[in-house]
Amino acid sequence: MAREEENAEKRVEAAPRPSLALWQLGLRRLRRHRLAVAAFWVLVVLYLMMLCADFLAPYHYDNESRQHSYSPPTPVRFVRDGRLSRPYVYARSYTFDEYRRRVWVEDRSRPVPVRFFVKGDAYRLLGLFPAERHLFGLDRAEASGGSTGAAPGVPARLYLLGADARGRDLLSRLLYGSRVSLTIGLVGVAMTFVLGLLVGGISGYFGGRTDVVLMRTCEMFMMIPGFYLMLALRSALPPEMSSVEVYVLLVAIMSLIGWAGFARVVRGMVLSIRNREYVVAAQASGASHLAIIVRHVLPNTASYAIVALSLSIPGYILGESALSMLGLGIQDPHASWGNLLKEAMNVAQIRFHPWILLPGVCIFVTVMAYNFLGDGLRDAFDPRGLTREAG
Amino acid sequence: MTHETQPPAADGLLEVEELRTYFDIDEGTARAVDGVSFRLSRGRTLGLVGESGCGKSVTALSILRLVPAPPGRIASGRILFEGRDLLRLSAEEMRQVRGNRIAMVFQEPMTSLNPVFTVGSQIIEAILFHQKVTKAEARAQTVQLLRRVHLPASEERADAYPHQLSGGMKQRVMIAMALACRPDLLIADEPTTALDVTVAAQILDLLKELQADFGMSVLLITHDMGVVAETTDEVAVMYAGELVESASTRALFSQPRHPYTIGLFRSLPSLGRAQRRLAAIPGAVPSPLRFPAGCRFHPRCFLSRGRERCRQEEPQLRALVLATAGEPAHFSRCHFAEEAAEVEVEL
Repeated sequence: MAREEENAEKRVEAAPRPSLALWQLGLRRLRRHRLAVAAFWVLVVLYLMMLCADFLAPYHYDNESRQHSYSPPTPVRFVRDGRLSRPYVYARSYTFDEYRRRVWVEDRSRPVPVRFFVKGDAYRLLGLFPAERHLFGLDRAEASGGSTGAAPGVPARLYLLGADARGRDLLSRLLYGSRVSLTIGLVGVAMTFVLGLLVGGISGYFGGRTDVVLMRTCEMFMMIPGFYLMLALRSALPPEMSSVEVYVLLVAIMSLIGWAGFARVVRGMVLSIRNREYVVAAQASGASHLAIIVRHVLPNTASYAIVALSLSIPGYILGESALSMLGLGIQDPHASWGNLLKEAMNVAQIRFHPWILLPGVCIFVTVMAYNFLGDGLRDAFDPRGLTREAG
Repeated sequence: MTHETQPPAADGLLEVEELRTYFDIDEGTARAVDGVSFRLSRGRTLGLVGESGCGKSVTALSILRLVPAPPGRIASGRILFEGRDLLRLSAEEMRQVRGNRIAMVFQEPMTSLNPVFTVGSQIIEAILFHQKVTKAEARAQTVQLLRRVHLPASEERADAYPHQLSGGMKQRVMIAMALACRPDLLIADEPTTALDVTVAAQILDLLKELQADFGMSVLLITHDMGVVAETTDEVAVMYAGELVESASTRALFSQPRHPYTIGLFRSLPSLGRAQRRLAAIPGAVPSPLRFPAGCRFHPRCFLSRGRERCRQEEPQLRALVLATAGEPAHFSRCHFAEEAAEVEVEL
């Protein structure tokens, strides 16, 4: 009889089914979630832009021009004297009208071509290779009017998205600022992840007194309203710090607030997984505690962890923005989306220079993208959904 | 105890002596295992039988020292494995025993495998715990083991995830994993309960076959008298944390000498007889928090019938038939075991 069953199973085996890991099944489901896929690609584009910020940005983030304070976006023109020409811009300067509003005047006599792979501010590509070519921009000599022989007046500047109070290019600053705003979530989540898994894993697995001590500690952190804790911690530390130090500090502060909730959920999951039969089976086959936690317990919390973490990244981005906007985060001249928004705190500024709200749009897009991606991941990696698919 | 009546351990592989495993819970101390002693010789199969909640599984977990602590604790007793007391080993030494010398197969094949890894990788892991071999060698061994437990298409199945296998196949995988290090003792905790009847029969056949090939001892925990009859050499019947009867399987089936065992037999359906109402044992296993005074079985016993002695005096396990060559003694924990022996049991 055993033989019969074997034969039957062999016949089934004749049409081999590909072995799909759970994550493969999850990815397959994720691909059907259109919004999540779109969000994923939006994020990919954002992060690629962040990596190439130096190259994509026409100016260095600190390249200022006081004569172009609050310059509106420079119109790029393609038609000259009724004929199609290569893209060019006019140099512009401003005077004030009777209400002390800026009135911008273009110097139409002097078109300055927008050039690609133009030499500009020096930088290190990916932090390694010294370079000075930018994807596009104005040639320095042409912009200052040297080549046309005209009297050097106000130089031409290329502001695709407008300029801030000190005449720095907003596009460039947004690109440089994304380095802080887009990575702080990832670094913060990574720290939360490590801390949460460690504490939650130990607490749930060993239980007893360890559990009580660790969980009460978590609750202490959760008791304090997050934003006030953030403010308190930041202001307890010296205000004069380099941007790198501030960055690390911000991540540390936010992870310190974020890990407790994550650890508690992980602990709950570990508590239930610990008593599953395969954990006892692993113990019965002689596995050590460490092997069991790492191999059998934590991987089973992975689907939750991935989802929880992708949904918590926006929190970090918003937290950084909030602190920087209040002047407690990244300091000028360094850029982050939060400290760029600082200028938008004044309603009058928004009224006359609406482009300074663009960092807010960037934050909005990023946060929404992470939320949609997180939602998609949650739907795709829901264990019940997976077994339904697999069964 | 009347251990002196047993023959000197010729090659006793496992000797459990007066094992007591208690659970300290809010309501008090639950005496899940309360003074259990038995002996298992090399190459033999011992069936541990009883209703749910009588302490069989806790006994098994106690042998591997896997009783969750707290709340569980092994209060007293000795578990001699090849003469070494497992209860005195360090955690590290115990880990060397688990899976290597003593392996265990669990009741629920559905949940005994980690859903996030392939079955092959889980067996490889078990091999690597105890053997100094490369991963490739472990994998070759794994495929061999899977072939050994008659898992069809074993090469490909090694890369399958648990959810892609049927219950019977998973139990074969679990057995392969248990056999990975050629243990001397295999503890099988209700290995067939979760399987349907035909698959269960195949798994039992497989266990018997492997036992003969590997020369290992098996401690088979079950509540199914049919399984006991088919696979075991000796039987120990447990009730309320204690052994109530133990004998060779043949002796026990030809003449049970404890009313509880008789009750278990009577609750089995049998062929050949027309429509008889099954005689279930009335009541339920008492809570391990509060055992009845006197004989723990007396409130459910058909022999007791309110006899004073059953209510007052706790019976001892006593040898009714002395051991002979190749035949262990027949023990019963009943004041009126002789009366029980007179009861006709139709099988």
